[in-house]
This record gives sequence, structure tokens and C-alpha cells, in this order.
Amino acid sequence: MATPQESNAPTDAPAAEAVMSEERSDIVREISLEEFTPSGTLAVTGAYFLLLLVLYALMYFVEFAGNGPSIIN
Amino acid sequence: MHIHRFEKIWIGLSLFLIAVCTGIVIYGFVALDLKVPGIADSGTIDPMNLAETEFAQPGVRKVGENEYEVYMVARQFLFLPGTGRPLTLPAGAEVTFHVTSPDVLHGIHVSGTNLNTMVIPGQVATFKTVFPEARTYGMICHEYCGPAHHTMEGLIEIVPPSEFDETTLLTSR
Repeated sequence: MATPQESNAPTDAPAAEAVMSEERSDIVREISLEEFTPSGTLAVTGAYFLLLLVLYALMYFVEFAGNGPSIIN
Repeated sequence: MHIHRFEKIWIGLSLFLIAVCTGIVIYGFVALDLKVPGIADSGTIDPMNLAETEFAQPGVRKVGENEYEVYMVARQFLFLPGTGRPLTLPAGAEVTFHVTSPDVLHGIHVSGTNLNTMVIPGQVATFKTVFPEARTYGMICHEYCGPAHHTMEGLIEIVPPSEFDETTLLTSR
């Protein structure tokens, strides 16, 4: 989210860089990219992935393959 | 390029999903014998002159011990055979449908089943199936073919093999 400082910053590069590197008071702890672990997002994505697999299998094996007679040749 | 390990997981799962979906379709094709309709190897026929082809006499022919061939003409706005008088076939037999059209594009869908193909003038749509049980199926045209398209329908009556009347069969040409 853009802070008032950022949104008021001039668009030329050196000035923008200065704003970015400026120490922000609302940062509690800085972590590296590897330390960032969005487990909740992973859990939601994983659940959605499982749902996709199960529903695809249901659609194919129950609604399609179970809807015989089918074309066999 | 540095990729976060969670992103690696997501990329891996996406590729896995594609592999699973493709694998299921291949499994269905090979192991479950779920095929798609084809066109006859004999090439195209002249739709203006079906009298010169096997479609001169549409109907059912016996080609083997438990094998039948159906030559069906789909025209505005009926299936021949099928509309008016049901197409009768024995249960459990291997049936090969050959369907063509003398006028415009039609489709045939046997309701409640996976039997479904387009019928293109000049081409012979071909598919093989087995009707396992004695019951009646409805069939409809599913490609808009003219003002009475919605009335284009027919019946397939599957009877137990012992009740199948072979005298209704056509003799081979």
C-alpha cells in the first residue's frame, strides 16, 4: 500500500530510491525472501488443488465414463 | 533467477495437474476403450446421389455372429431409420453406425449416452458401440438444420437378443 510519502514522491528515479530506502517507522522486523513463509496461502492453494483433482476425476470417471454406452471404436 | 521454494511447489503442482489430466484422458482412451467418432476410410460420397451408395437402403445389416451395421440417413427433419419406426437392435451386440446426410449439416446424439457425432453431407460418420441392456433410447439432432430442427428425433429400441427379429434385416449389397 502506498504511503502518503510515496504517493507524493517525484517520479524521477534517484528521488524515488531515496524514499524507498528511508527507514519506515511501521516496520517491526525485516525478513529475507526465503524467510517469508505464507503457509495459509499454501494451505488454501493446496486445498483448491486437491478439489480440482477430485472433481476432475469425478467428472471424467462418473459423469463421462459412467454414462455408457460409449463409442468403443 | 531466484525462485522462492513455495513458488517452486506451485509450479510443480501445476505441471503435475496437467500431467494427471492428460494421463486420465489417455487411460480412458486405452484402458476404458472410450473412443471418438471417425469418418469412413472409403473417403467422401456424393450427397446428391445416395442411391449409388450403401445408403440407398438405410437400415440394419448383419455382418458377423453378433455384429451389426446400421446405415442411417439424417435428413431434414428425420432419421432413417429411427424416426416414425424405431431402429431396433439386439442387446449386447457390436453395432457399427454409418451416418450421412444428403442435405445439410446434422448431428446425432443418443440421449443419456456418450454416443454423439456430427453428420456432414458427403462424409460418413462412423462409430461402433455395444448397447448392454434392453431399453429404449431417444436420439436427437444437435446441429441446427432448419426451421423444424427441434422436431428432428428418433428412437432406438434395444431388445433382448432372443426377441430380435432378424427378418427386418437388410440383405448385404
